[in-house]
Amino acid sequence: MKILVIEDDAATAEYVAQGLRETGHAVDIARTGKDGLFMAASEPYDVIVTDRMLPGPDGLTIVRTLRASGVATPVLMLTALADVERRVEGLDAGADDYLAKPFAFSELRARVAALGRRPAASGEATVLRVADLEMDLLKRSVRRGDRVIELLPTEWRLLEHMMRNAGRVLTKTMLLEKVWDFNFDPSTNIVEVHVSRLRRKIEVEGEPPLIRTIRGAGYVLGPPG
Amino acid sequence: MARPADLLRSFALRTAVLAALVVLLVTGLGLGFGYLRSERVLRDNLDAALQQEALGLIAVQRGAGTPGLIAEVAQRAQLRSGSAIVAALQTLDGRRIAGAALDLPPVLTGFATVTGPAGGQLRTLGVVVPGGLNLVLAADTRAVLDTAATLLESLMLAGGAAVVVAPLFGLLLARRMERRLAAVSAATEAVIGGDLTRRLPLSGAGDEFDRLAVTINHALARQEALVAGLRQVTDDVAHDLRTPLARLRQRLELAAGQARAAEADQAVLDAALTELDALLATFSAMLRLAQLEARTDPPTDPVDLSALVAAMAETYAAIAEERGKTLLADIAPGQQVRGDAALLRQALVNLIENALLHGGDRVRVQVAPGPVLSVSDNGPGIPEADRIRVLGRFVRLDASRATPGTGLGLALVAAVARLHGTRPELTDAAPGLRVTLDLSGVRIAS
Repeated sequence: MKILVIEDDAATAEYVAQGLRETGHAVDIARTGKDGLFMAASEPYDVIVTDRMLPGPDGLTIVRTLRASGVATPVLMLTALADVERRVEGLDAGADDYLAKPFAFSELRARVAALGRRPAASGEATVLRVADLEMDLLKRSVRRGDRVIELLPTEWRLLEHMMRNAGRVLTKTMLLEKVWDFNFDPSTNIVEVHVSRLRRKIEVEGEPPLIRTIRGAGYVLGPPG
Repeated sequence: MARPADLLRSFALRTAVLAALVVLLVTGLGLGFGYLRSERVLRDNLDAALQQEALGLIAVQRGAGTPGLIAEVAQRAQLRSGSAIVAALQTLDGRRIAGAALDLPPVLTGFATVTGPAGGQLRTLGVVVPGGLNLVLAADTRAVLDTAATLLESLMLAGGAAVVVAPLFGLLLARRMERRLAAVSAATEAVIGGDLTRRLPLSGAGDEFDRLAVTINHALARQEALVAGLRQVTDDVAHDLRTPLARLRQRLELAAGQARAAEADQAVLDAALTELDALLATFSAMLRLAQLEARTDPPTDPVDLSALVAAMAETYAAIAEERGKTLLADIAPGQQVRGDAALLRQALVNLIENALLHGGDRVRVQVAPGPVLSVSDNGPGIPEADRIRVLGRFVRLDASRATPGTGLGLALVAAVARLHGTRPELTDAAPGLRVTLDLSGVRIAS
């Protein structure tokens, strides 16, 4: 993917750019809000990663300006200001995701990947399928092959989110935000516990595993193999 | 004390001068009006006296005939020469028959004011009586004017006194006000200078100044508490962040001094990252807490408390089970509050995680109608003496030192509770600890 990184701190910009290049993306860097806005408006990018506080127009202004001029490129906003109000402000301005500094690189990579492929996801489907796992959103039922699976509400939300994002790495933080609505880190391992309980329900003995753990990154739900 | 120049510029003095002017104006109006009224009353009295005399003489004529009247008038002119009221009789063409020589114009009827023989003003009442005669009663108005003049004089004296006293009174008022304001200024300057314990003096009169001073003193007390809190935070940060940072530094320094070895290095780096993450978590929690504590506007979104608690109870029932514990939920349905769902969720998570970490093997999450939210465990509980203290920052009782945690969990619960108009109450669950949040103050009636 072609990614624009707007970040005034040289070390952070280089860290982000290098990490994304290693993952196979083409990365441009803009060091001021003005340059960033110009580049974002004149070149087609797949994802824009912008700092929130920038010299010149700041991250919020950039997103608002882009959205106002019809540029729909997904934007991930980075910030040292991570409280809920700022987060809501960022998303309201038109950013697609919000990530607090400091962050683990795996977190950034997973979120950029999720944003880049966002349009492929269909929000209107009533039946989600991954391999032989099937979730019927209207009948509220889940089955693997012929086996009917009973899920608790939390497990249902977790599986639905993973199936809607099948094939993507979902980090612990992303799951906490989307499934549990947490914008803080709990001190217990609730994601690990619930993923493992979900696994025990959808991968009974003899069935090929569907949820893979990516060490240091997160989880991927996808066809076995 | 204020210099004269300051006094002239002062609001107090301007108020006093204004007050003096108003006093003068009112006094002046009162005096003038009083004078006019008094003169009028005196004149009316004179007229009444003239009328009385006239009626008396008419009665004499009726009884003793015209000659009797002439005799009576002539006699009066002789006997009562010093009287204020004199009588005269003249023919209708102005010829004097009897009585005082007043040099009157011919035929006076009704009340009139004429110039007397001595040049003074005469008030007269003339009546035409049977026999073709004109009876005239007259009084010198000098007596009336003298009385009025005396009155005016004393009124002027009183007015003069007001002219002198009113500004003096104003000045006194100004000085009193100035003195109290100066005390307020001095105290405020002291606070600005850094003496946060200083308070405005109270006069004890309980007046507007005292009430204002009480309000300002409240503000000062709050500020003192905030600054004390800030100092406490700084100390806490120094202690609770420096220690792990120092540990991290030692770890890295030790590793740097040794020969590179892939496996050992990896272990050091992993440990360092874990340590850093814990530090960052503490740091985030502190920032969050500081933001919450500084916030004053209460959140007002409608929150389905029952649903929120049910979802958390389900999530943590799984965690409890993994640890061989039980989490029971007892949730009254349909309980709604005005507030912030994200904050309430985090406060609840902190309470549940505390209970799972420090409590026994049974955790009970309850929403009673009210709504009253409570989380209790069957662990060792918290001694009564420590129950207020644990709501502070970085307070970790000795028993919990060995377990993970930032020491900010309950402080955050307290901050969230404050934003929802309540405070956490720690009680004995016999055995164990129960933390209760009474949210009835932000209830939405269903």
